[in-house]
Amino acid sequence: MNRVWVFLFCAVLTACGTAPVVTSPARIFAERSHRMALQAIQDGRIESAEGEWQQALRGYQAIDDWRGQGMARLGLAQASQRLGRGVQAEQALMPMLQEGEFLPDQQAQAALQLAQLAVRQDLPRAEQLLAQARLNCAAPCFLVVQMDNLAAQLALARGDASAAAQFAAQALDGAKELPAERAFSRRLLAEVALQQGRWHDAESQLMQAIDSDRNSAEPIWLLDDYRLLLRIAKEKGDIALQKKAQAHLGSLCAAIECSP
Amino acid sequence: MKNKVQLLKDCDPRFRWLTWRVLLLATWVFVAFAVLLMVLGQRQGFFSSKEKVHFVAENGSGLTPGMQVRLSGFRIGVTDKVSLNEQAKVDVTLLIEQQYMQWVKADSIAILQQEGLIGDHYIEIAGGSVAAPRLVEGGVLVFAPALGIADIAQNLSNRTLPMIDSMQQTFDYLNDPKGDIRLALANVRQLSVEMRETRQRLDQLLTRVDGVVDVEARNTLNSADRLLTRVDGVAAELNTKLSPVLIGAASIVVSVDAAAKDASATAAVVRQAVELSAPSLPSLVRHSDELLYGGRQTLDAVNQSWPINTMLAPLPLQAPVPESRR
Repeated sequence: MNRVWVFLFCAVLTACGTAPVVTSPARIFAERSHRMALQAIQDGRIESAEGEWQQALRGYQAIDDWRGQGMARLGLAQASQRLGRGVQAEQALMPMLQEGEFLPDQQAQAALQLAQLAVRQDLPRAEQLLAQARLNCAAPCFLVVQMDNLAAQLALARGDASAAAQFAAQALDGAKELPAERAFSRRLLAEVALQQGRWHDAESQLMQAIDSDRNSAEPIWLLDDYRLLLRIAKEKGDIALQKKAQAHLGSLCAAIECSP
Repeated sequence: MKNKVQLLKDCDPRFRWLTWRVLLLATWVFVAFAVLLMVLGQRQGFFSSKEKVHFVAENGSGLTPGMQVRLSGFRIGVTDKVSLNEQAKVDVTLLIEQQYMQWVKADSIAILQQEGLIGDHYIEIAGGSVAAPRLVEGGVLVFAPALGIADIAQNLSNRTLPMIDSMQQTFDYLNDPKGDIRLALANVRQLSVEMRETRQRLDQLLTRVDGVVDVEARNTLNSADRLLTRVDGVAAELNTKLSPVLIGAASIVVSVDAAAKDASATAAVVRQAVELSAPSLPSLVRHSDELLYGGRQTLDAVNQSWPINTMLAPLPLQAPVPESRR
């Protein structure tokens, strides 16, 4: 009788178990590097993330996994960009626009990241890359908010305040679940209002952006916000606001070694 | 089962001499165990007679009971006891095998050493002149704690810093615009200007020698004489001021030479330590790597087991979404 129970127990265990997943050591290596890179990005260890993305890229190249390569290149470019290595970031992304093996969504993201890299140096190229990104991204595009924010940035750089306001408002509407992008849209709207001489609107939008950026707790974003607040205060001639912006900038710069 | 046991009768041939066989086996095991104990004890020096010797250390760090005592690299005994005495110093008792005591002399010293950079500590008995008498039982050795790299660096720093300060003071003294040296040099410069003027006057005098009145020539010569007297004075003053500086500089050079020798000795010690440790480094690195790999495997296994796998879900493999403000 006991033997029957033992047999039944083993049969149930076998039935409930899942088939063992056989994975090659090369894939394990690539995926482990990929996960460690994501974890490093989450923790803010950007240099480690860059190294892990490079390992992941090599790992995916070794097993001819183009989807993995695409993810690794996009991650590597972001890490390099955050470390101020724009050339390396571009080198990681360019093959994605030239090779047809990458997924269209990945190519769209690569074009967007390249446009973000070019926005300060080469305005026409940034616009061209943004257009390419919009073309490659299948609807509903998962990058539409970032694209609208970038379009607003480009319009501001061209001096087209109304177009900038339109793109930033679109981005604000679409970024309900992306607080960082929402804050950036508000910051862009504040800059548009500043250009149009609407000081009160500018201050109001920017204060909302600052609230959101405080929750994101990104020192660089807060620094950018308070610099804009100081500009608004100077244009407006508001001494109290100017002092407030300077106090916040002083406090931030004492922590992250910057010049207000 | 019961039936099977009943089948084995007492007269079964396999039971013949059973008691003797068991006794023989037990005796054999006992003898083997005893021999093993004897061999191990012999190797550990349990059966050799030992003599106690002592030393007193300022600090007990690195000194533990049971640590080896070596002479010329050979184990000759063990540390028996390490205890704090009434003067807050450390009394250490060593047990040294009698056969080796002939080389432990009254003027030998005990040095705390370490195997490589990260190995165990042991006590090395060193020194001891041939003519010196053998250390008697219960005798006291002089203890010399081994200098670590940090101690050597501190020592070197202690000896070098005053020298650098002294050089700095000398340079300050030389550079001081109001200092004696700079003033003396200014005097020399002024003197050279005056000499140049005198030379010009003499040249004029020589060209006009025929027309020059005797008085003017005498005045000029008197002036030159006074100038030369001042030259002597300035030279003497310069000599007086420079002498201490030169003496100081000479002592600094001697100090630098001594420090360079110390640095060379330090480098030799460090090199020796590195050479001792170097062979074990690759295996250490390999073992660390294997340890890390094992640790990672264990963590992966723990992460995949229930209920931790429900709490720590692995990150999905995806590309990070770009942020507009980066």
